[in-house]
Amino acid sequence: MFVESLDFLLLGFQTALRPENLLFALLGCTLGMVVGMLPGIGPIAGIAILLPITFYLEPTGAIIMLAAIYYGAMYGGTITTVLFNVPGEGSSAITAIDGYQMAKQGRASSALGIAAIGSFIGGIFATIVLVFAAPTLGKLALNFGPPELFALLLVGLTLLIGLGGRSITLSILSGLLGLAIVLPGTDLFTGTTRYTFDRIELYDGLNFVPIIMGLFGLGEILHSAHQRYVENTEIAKAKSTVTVKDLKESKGAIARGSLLGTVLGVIPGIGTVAPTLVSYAVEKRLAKNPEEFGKGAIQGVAGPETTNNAYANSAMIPLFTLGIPASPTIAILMGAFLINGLQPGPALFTENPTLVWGIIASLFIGNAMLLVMNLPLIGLWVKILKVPTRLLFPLILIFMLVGSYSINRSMFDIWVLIFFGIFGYLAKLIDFPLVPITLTIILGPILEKSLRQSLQISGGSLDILFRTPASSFFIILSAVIISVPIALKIRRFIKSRRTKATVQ
Amino acid sequence: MKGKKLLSIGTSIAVALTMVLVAASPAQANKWKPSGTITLVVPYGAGGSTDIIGRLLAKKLESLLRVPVVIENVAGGNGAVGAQRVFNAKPDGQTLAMLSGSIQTIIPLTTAIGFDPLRMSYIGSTHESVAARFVSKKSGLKTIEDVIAAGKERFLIDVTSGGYGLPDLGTALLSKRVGGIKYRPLATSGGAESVLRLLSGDADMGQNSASTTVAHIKTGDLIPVLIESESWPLLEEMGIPKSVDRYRYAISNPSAVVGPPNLPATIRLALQKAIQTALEDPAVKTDMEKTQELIRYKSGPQARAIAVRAQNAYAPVLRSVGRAIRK
Repeated sequence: MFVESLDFLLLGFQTALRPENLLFALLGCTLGMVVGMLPGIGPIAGIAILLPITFYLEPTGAIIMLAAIYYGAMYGGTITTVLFNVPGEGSSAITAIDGYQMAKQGRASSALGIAAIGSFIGGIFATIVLVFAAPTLGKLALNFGPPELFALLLVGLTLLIGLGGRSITLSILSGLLGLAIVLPGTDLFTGTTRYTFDRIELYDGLNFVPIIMGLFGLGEILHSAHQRYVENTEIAKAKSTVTVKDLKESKGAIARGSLLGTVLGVIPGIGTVAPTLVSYAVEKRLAKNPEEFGKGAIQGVAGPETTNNAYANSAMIPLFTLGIPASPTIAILMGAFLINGLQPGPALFTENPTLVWGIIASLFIGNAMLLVMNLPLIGLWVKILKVPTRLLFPLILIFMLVGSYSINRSMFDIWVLIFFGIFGYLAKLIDFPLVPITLTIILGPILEKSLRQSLQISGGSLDILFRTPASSFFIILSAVIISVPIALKIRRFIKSRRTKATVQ
Repeated sequence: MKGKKLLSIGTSIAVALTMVLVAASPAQANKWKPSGTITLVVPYGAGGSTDIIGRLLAKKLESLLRVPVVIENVAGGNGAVGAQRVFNAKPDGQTLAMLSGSIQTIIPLTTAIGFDPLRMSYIGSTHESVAARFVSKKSGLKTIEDVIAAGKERFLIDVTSGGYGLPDLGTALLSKRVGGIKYRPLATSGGAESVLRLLSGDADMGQNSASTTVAHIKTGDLIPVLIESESWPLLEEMGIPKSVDRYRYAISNPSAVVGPPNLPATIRLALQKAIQTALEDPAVKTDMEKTQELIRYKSGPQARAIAVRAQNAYAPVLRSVGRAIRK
């Protein structure tokens, strides 16, 4: 099995290393970087725009290019996030928290460098797993049903409680606001609309990207304008290398991110953003200095950025082994297969080994290209910060407006951006935590869906949440995570009362 | 008197002219030329079969009409957002939509979308989507008779594409025709996820289309038991029975290329002719058939008639299961 995979991989490299395919990979990586960087225009738009090209190209080259756009965007999305607090795409959103703080402290190069290195390691790790363990992981995807997904996300949610913010009450309030924001839409289970006020734009709920760009990017710009003068000098002075210390501090986060992204990439329905949130939460929990998070902790960049690229590469596993697209971006990629008369699924490996293995080999090549492209470019990206804010801010604003509009070609999303921009600005003024809103916007709908699906399967019985060892483990783990701090608090309280009593 | 005569001569000339114009209109139809880029709105995300067929059509129309034809994916509300955009566009032939069946048939009956897609100008149809009922290999069921027998004994889990759509309607119709079966829906976000739930064994059965099922039909992990669209050649070759023969119902999921209401007849006919010519090209047809959908040209009026017929067939069922909204 092992040797067989290696043989096929060698065959794949023969295909992927053909000059035209190398060129397609390079083109895809570059385009991916660009669409990732441009706020609001993510890999979905990038691939959709280029989908017609598959009519004119040979399928292997076309699919190599489209796949490269997907993971290339994971690299590009970090850049605007770190430099301007404007998440280039959703899966970089959580990076904004610590990445932007690092940039403010003159460590933009470290943040961008570690993100590129982490992405590379994560991507390569996921691809190695794809080569040797795809069928096994494909089975995992099948056995990881709604109850397991719900239990896993519950762990994520409990880990995230009290994340950032000066008070638990405010964090909970912020989280509830996030849930309120995702409430409007069409109920998946009954097909009835809820809180849509008969606005057709709300039938599918609010789009995540303009919300996040508003809360973080536009909010930040308005806040800076409010302060009139922006301390940009520190950013401009930034060093252009990643230090050994940076690497040492992030190695754990990168290792965990690679594993997390690879495993979660196989699970359909989890989406690109949730894994990065889980990674952030895990890193904060495991950090020796959790108070650093939110103030420029490098693990807060390394973890999620590694995770999102490991996820993007690993998400090919269910496509290749089951013919199931695990995310909307992969669904378009699947379209490219279908256009060429190829049916993704288990048979593809035997029917079209050159194509499949060529694409897999190109993942290695593309990730290496992106690393080589990214590291030297960091100095250049950081220089953008030298552009005076009176020019830079309007430019970013235009990009955000165009990006919001382009998602569904709708003015409505521009209003969403502006509304949440003002919201983000006001929140900054009163130091209201924004992270919990982001979390519940992402996790809320998946939690709701997986819980209700579980109950539909079981006919209403909650026993289903304990149907497999995996789901039972996650449920118990989340109970432990919640109860331990409470138990400790009670013990401390009793102890202090006892000491008080003995003193008296 | 003279004046009256002149008037009647004038009227006669006018009538004659009108008659000439009416008679000449098919010839006129070919004379309409688009003034610039045509936007073909696909009201779903990129990559699905409607999108792929739309793109193949756009590519061919470009060479026939000699203007760029661009696809714009405007997803949302099961097609309602994109369709509404075209509904409100200027009826000049430059903005069109490629609708799948549900937005024309079932959605207006179940959801208050604020406009009637059937009022749009029907230009033509490229294809009809196939649908069949599948059972999970893990369910132990093998035939439609097994499904019905099991459904008399226990609750079957019926995986659907979320909301109340054609898969739900299919199950409701089947149940009605066989005197009731017990089932519970399991809602998912679409065809791919519902296939996954069938493969995992979380669901017993479900109606699905071609794009995500074909790979698993070949391996035997998904077992087709009943063709619910009017036909599905691949499954017919396998000897799978049809619902229309056995249980007197069929799920119709016709696509349509439409323009805004009141599209002038000359423009409509010119575009209809272009679609017809495009589908007469064997290369285009072969490429479209790779999606496994039933590729066949239908004129605008024919396409509209199919949609109206489907809606009329669905309405009483939806009312009886309490899913219809009041218009």
